[in-house]
Amino acid sequence: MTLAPSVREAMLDAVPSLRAFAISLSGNVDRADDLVQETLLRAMANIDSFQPGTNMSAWLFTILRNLFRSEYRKRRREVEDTDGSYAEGLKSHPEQHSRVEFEEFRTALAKLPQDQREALLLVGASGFSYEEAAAICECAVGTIKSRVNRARTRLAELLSIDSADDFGPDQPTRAILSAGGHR
Amino acid sequence: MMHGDVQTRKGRGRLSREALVKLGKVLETYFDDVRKEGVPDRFKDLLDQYDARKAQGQPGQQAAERSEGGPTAPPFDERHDKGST
Repeated sequence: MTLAPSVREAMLDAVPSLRAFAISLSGNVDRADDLVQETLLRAMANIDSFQPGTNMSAWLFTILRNLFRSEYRKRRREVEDTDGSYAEGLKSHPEQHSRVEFEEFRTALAKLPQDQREALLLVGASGFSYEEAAAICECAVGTIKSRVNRARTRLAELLSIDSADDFGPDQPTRAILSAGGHR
Repeated sequence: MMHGDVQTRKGRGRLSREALVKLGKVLETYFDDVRKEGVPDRFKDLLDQYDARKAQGQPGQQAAERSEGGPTAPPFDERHDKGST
């Protein structure tokens, strides 16, 4: 059947966050957009199994995560693309952050184990509760909590946000923070 | 020694509240950077194409399914209907 207007709307609403998640997971905009496309195709093909009234976004994230995981296993032996194509792929790269700063953050993110990275991205950036993230990752809530904690600690170390002290002038996060934090 | 060990673990396992807030902002900003791009056309087109294909494939069923399936979904604004320009 064709998509109900509300379903269509909910799918499109989820796309920006899905893309952000996919880019953060794969480290590559083109791959990420392919993942999002594949996710939407799967979702439409299986729309009958979606329960109206439940969280469309969480459902799509679940599909995308599973796709990424199976694709990741397949591509494991191929050379990972970590050479800066992330920034090039973004259409409107913001002027206020330099490419280098984002690259450093992305590099730090890529150093996290995959389980931790996805938990952190779901809870810390995508706005899901621990419970929702646990459902998406098909694991216990306590597992998600400990993954998020470990991810935060490690990322803070890598980015030198390890204390309440201020940042050194060359810390990549500094510009990101000042741009995002206080208008 | 024991004391140092405990200190290290404490330092590793627990971030200050301020550090957490900072980290949260970094993550948010990183994500927002992508979110700002909104929905690329290719994804809108994808849904349009799917709908068009489905409508074409099952010309008789569409109306019936719409009227049966419609009420289960919450009312939403109907902007999608003007999307054919």
